[in-house]
Amino acid sequence: MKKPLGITLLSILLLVAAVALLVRTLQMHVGGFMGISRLVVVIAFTIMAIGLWMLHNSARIFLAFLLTADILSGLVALGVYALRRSNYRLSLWLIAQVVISGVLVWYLQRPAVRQAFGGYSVWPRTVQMLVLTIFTVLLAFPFYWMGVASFKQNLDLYATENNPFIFNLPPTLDHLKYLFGQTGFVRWLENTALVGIIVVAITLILAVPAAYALARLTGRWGERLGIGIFLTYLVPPTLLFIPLSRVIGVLGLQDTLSSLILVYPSITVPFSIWLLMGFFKSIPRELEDAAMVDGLTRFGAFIKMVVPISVSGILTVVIFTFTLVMQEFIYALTFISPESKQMVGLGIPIFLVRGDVYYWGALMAACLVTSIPIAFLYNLFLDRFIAGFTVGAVKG
Amino acid sequence: MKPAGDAETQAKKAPPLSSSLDKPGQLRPRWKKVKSAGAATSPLLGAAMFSPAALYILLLIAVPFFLAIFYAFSDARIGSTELHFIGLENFRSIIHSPSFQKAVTNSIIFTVVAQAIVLVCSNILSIALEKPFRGRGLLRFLILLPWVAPVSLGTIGWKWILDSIYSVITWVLVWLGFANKLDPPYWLGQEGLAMASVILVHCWRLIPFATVILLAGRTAIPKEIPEAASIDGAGFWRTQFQINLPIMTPILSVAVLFGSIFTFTDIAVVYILTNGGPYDSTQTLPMLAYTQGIQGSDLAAGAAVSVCLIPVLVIIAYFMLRMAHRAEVV
Repeated sequence: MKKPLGITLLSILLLVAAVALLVRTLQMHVGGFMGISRLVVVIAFTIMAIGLWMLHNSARIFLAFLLTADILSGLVALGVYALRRSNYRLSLWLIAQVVISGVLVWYLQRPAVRQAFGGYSVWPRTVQMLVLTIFTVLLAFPFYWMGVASFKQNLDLYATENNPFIFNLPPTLDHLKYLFGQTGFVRWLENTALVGIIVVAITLILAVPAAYALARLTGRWGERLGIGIFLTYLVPPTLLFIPLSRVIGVLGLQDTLSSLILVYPSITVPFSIWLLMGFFKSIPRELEDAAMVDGLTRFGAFIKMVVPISVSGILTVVIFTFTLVMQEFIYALTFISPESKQMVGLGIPIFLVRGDVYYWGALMAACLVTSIPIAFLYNLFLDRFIAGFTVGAVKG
Repeated sequence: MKPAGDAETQAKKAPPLSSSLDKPGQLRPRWKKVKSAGAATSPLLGAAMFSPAALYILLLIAVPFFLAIFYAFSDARIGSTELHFIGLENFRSIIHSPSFQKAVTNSIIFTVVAQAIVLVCSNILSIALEKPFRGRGLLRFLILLPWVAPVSLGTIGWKWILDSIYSVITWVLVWLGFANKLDPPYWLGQEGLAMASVILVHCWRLIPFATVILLAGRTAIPKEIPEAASIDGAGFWRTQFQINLPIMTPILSVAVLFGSIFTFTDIAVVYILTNGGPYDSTQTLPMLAYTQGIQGSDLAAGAAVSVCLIPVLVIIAYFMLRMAHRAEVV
């Protein structure tokens, strides 16, 4: 395959730009955040240059993606900033940039170039990358923002003149120290872990046998009961918290973690039964039959054969229960008032605020520290949760 | 456990223990026989295994559910044990309160607008995520963060983003010359902006959820159908709208129904962001139920407000049931 001249030129150009940027960065002793981001650009340019040289389609697509992003942001900047402010020098510069990028994208899509790279069109994957980039940035931005706030010095955090996206002063661990040393955060984590573990245990004890019974033992009725159970999952806590608050009061459980331990399974059990029911149905019946032939009772076969091979389903329930315990808001808000008995989901937004003063650094650090681990766990079992939500609307 | 005995008798009815000496050929008919025994249901054991969970659900979901309805027709208050049946009195008084009217319209507006936005965005996002590529796992993790992180914590993150003085959005707007630094927009303090903010946070939280559900639906579309369509000359848009969309209707409605429940019955977002204010402009039914029932000690009024959630829940449950039924038939 012959390499088009333009591609050769482009890769040389990219390489030259990378080297020039590297030299300039080293000359000017740019350090810290800016230095690192410049190095990233240098590396990206170099890789792209090599990729183009070797006629890798990914390099072409990545270049097209960058150019399209450049065109779009150039147009936005032109419309909302440069022209509005009558900044004509900037406007001209932006227009030139947009035109150059446009010509390059047009060139990358030429039949000759397309053929050299295996005949693929540039657009589908470029648009895909653009969409993904935009959504990921929008959705993950608050978490990036939490990260920035948790390590910023207060002087930097509360200075409205400073660029808020970067560290104008060196990062600090003060907020984390304050969070772990001088607030109830650790206590709330302990409470959450304790409640979580007990609720998980209760959920498993109630849901695993019930799900098995519905999947295997009750025949035609199992199906209907299963759907009935699923419907109870739709009854929201915001409907039940008022009568339950009185029940908790009558039982004398006000302001104790026991109140939450008693009530939380009512959210977790229905969905867990539903999830596990689907799981048990997918296990071949022959397994239990074989066990029963070997002299086990039905219940024995369930305990010794079915439960062990259902570990992944049961783990899903464990993770699901744990996340729900962390997510829950209204019951903890209604049943528990003292600070030392709080759960993380409530303690952070309510008790990290002293009077009217928000300790934003510590608040954001707490949110980040709590959210990320649970997100990791949840991701591992994502497909199973989804199977639970789709109510059989998806086959397979 | 007594019912276990029942299963035991069943097992005994099965042929005697298979010995290792049996030849594979002889095993066949025996297996078949056992299969019919194992496939038989044993209602007693089933009932015994199911009843603890059923009892728990009855006591902690069904009983409070009817208690809530009962309270709505009574004069229950925090701190007094007396209860009188007072008929429709609670409903009569809440219907005339402006807060309640605002709460009803807001609950509906938030739910409908948020679902519409979520539906469009999650469809686009799920198309983009459909084909595997390098780094998809990482992207999925980042995209899912809003859904997986506890609601209250994600919302407090937004409260910082929408802060009246240190808001990053305001900073960017001022820098671009769109906002005046001395008279910045109060994201959570002006009626329209506060409503938009609540909707924004709901969308932010639900887009990841809807996306992964739609993704599951997309991967389940048999590959032959879009392929055949493209051979017949259907372009990208045509394939999406005339082929994929109809196939995905059930899964789309699952995403919308769950999303509606999550938005309609949520209290954490409004409680943390605006507490229902300014001037009830972001008041919702759950929020009002909490302020009246718990903070105002008027359990009966709170119950009456929260009971107003039931009609919408019934409608959603009806559609869910229809879908579950259809899935069973197919």
